[in-house]
Amino acid sequence: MDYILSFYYCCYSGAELAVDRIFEVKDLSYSFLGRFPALCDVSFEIHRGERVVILGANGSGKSSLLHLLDGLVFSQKGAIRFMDYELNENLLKDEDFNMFFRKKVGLVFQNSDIQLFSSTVWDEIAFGPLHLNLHNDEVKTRVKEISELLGLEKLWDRPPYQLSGGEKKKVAIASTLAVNPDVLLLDEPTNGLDPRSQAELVGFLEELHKIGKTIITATHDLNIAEIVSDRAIVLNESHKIEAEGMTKDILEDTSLLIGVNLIHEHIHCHDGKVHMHPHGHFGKHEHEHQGHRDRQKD
Amino acid sequence: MKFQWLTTTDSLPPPANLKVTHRKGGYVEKTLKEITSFFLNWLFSEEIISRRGLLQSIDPRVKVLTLGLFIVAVSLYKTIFLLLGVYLFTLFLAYFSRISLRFFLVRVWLFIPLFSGIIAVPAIFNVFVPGEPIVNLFTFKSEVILGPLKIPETISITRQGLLTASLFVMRVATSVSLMVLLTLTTRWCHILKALRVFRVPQFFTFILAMTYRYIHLLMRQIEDIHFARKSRTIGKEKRGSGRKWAVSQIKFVLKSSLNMGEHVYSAMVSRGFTHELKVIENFNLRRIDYAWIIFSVFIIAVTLVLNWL
Amino acid sequence: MHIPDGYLGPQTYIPFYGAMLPIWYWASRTLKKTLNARQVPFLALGAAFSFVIMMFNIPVPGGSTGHAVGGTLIAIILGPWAALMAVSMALIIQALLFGDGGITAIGANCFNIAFVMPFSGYYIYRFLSFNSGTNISRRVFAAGVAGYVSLNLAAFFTAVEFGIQPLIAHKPDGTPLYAPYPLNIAVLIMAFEHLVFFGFVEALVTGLVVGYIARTEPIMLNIPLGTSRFRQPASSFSQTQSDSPWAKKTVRNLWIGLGILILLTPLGLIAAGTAWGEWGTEELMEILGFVPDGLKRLVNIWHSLLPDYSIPGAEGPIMSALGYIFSAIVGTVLIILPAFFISRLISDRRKTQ
Repeated sequence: MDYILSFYYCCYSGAELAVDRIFEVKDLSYSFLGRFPALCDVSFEIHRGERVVILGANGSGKSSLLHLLDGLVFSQKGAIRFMDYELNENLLKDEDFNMFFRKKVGLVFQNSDIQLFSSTVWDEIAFGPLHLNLHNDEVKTRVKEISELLGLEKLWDRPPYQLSGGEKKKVAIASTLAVNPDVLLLDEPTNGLDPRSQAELVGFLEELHKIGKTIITATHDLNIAEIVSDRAIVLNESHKIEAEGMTKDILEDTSLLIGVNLIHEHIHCHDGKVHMHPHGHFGKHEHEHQGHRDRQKD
Repeated sequence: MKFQWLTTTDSLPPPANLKVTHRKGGYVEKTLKEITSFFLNWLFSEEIISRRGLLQSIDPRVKVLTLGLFIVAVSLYKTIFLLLGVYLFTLFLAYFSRISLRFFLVRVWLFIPLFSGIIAVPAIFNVFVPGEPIVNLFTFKSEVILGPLKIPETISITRQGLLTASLFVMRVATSVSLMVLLTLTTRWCHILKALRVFRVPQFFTFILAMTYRYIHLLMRQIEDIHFARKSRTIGKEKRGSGRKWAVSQIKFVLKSSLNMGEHVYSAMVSRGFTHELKVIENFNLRRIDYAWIIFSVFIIAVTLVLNWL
Repeated sequence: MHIPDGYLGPQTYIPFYGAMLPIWYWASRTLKKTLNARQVPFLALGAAFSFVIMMFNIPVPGGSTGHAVGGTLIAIILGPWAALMAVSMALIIQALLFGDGGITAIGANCFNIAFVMPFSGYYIYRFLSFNSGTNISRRVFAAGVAGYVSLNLAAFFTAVEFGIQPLIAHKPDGTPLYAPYPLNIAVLIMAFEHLVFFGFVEALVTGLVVGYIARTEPIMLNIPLGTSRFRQPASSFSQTQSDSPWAKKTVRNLWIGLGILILLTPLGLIAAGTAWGEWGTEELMEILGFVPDGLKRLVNIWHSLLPDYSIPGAEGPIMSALGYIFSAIVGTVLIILPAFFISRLISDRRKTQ
């Protein structure tokens, strides 16, 4: 896998990003249909090569944020700068900029069924490169190599909706990677995946990071948060940024996590008694039996 | 006390006499049946496409072209013998494409040819199609006119009637057989791509492909809805509630379709789609394709010559 | 109602392909201009929706179930051109990928179900619901009627296509080569089925869904939320000539209605016998046994150009039908021309006053 990846890196690295600051988000606010608030005065920066996780409970605005970063929707208030370009509707209507932007940033959607719209897996992976005006031969090469990377050759002739959850996710990632973006946005990538696929996916993301890609993951799954990121941005249920910092530190701040509904008062059973105490299954896992309440089994 | 009903067990005794009555399938059942058969057919096709048979090995464009020509030829035949001949030919093709004949026959005849056969039966009587009588059935006192219908004095089975009914049914059955051969041995996406050869614009074929995909997604949703309905229906329904529900399902499907549309567009834009759709085709012609083209054209030419002699 | 292969002969199916090609071409040109890229998936969805609707079993009063087509419904939501494409695509997929409906008959099927039905349904709906503002029940009614009439219109065209087969394609001894039933029977049966049953199913589906949309997302139907009485704001989906005032639209609808009525005139051929009171001398002879003197004298005063609504010298059922249509056109022109000139005169006078 490593050998293939470094080969990939050598061939497709493209121009070094001169700009170190990839995304600069300032006072961003966004509402659906002008009515339903999704983000409130959000500000942060993302630098080249970083691995950032955006944490938040369902409905906190993570998906919207990724859609905004990918230039699919545009905010009513505030601004997003991508490498010193301010993303707005007119800018993305410019064909040259659109081509440039779509080659640099890729988004893996939460719902694979929606993201995979082509008739076969082969067509799906080829869609990106084709529409970014790569030569037919180059397109075929890319599809072949990306499929080898992710083990998808056997699925080439199959319609995407016929695949299992894990396979769909792989195809989605393959089709996003085929354009060789420098920035990869992932929306709840482990949602609905079986444990093995999850592990594969997370490992793959780590490899991508090693070859220099900037990876931004949005998730509420704290189990993978620490592995896929160094830095974390936490959104609360009022659609604002609750906290920012190193992932390790954020994950140990239990009161913060409870406050934003990322963990819960956990009920479990041992020693013949039912216990209830704030609990998350990640990081250090020790059952300290201090400060919990005993509940009599009914 | 709150929730009392939840904490007590319902005192319903199990039914005493289990009469096995065939409950007529309601609309939920019927739709579910259609949906299930839809998916089943589709599943079967996937399996057959992957077998190594005659038609599976032929390039999709060639298949669409030649089978299309056959269907056009079938629409031109004037004698029952030519139709029977080509029909038998389709059976041979099915056999050599490793399609079980029983499956093929069921798939073809259910439901269009059978239906056509049924509606063709009255045509053998001279009430509807005039002609030379073969068997005389009833004789009335005189002609009877019922609005636009003229019932003749003698009702009989006519030669023309029998001939037209047979021509009709065989023509329909042969055409359907040819189409079924195409759909069973070719991936739908290839059929659509093959249309490009006929100068169908890309705009069209791309949307056709998307449509096919959406059909599957929608069908799955509707299936879920109907299962949900089925599992919650106890006893008979109030009149009219079924109608309301069916319509509300259509509304729901409509809504989720629109929702899907927005998201799919985003997904396409995210990978570089602006306004023009681009596709690569990977078709190559091989020896078997050429052989098949020559063979089919020969047969079509011979039959048409015989037809017009 | 989808015509399978083998029901229509090439004399019929080829002209229909010929008719549909320019219609499709025109539709795709219109859509390309007005449909922006983000609506492309919606077109596919409309097609899928149309396909799926044809599969739904809808319980109807009386206990059985029926199928709907949905052509008018889609026309009301997406506009007639988009509906034309969407339903055409659903039909093509049915024929090509599911073997439901013939491929030689695609032209005819699209003409009936993707062209006649959505366009007639759309304009009927617009005509009946114009100026209804926020009156939802009127729209529901309009949609129901539009669904009913458009379906029956499509069924009628289908029946005619079946019915003329024995006339135009048969062996020398009279054996029909394709659909075996003559015009009167084909029309009778199709009309009965659709007027009595399927039409109502269609009306139900169209009306109720439109009602739902009107209540929940009125924008989709261009329902003005308090705007002027005479203008309807254009939606991003429907292809309206939104710049022309409603008056022009109404007139155009009337023309279309008139055109349809003209095409329907051959229906009269089906009825055997003569209408009551419109007897000629031969009929009177049969009925009464004699012919009144006064009548005898007047009978030959006027020799009409188009006797019995037929073209002199043209025999046979098709020619009779065409004769009817031709007569209808001539009659219409003769009525409209003077009316046109008179109204022109009046308005000119008004202008000068």
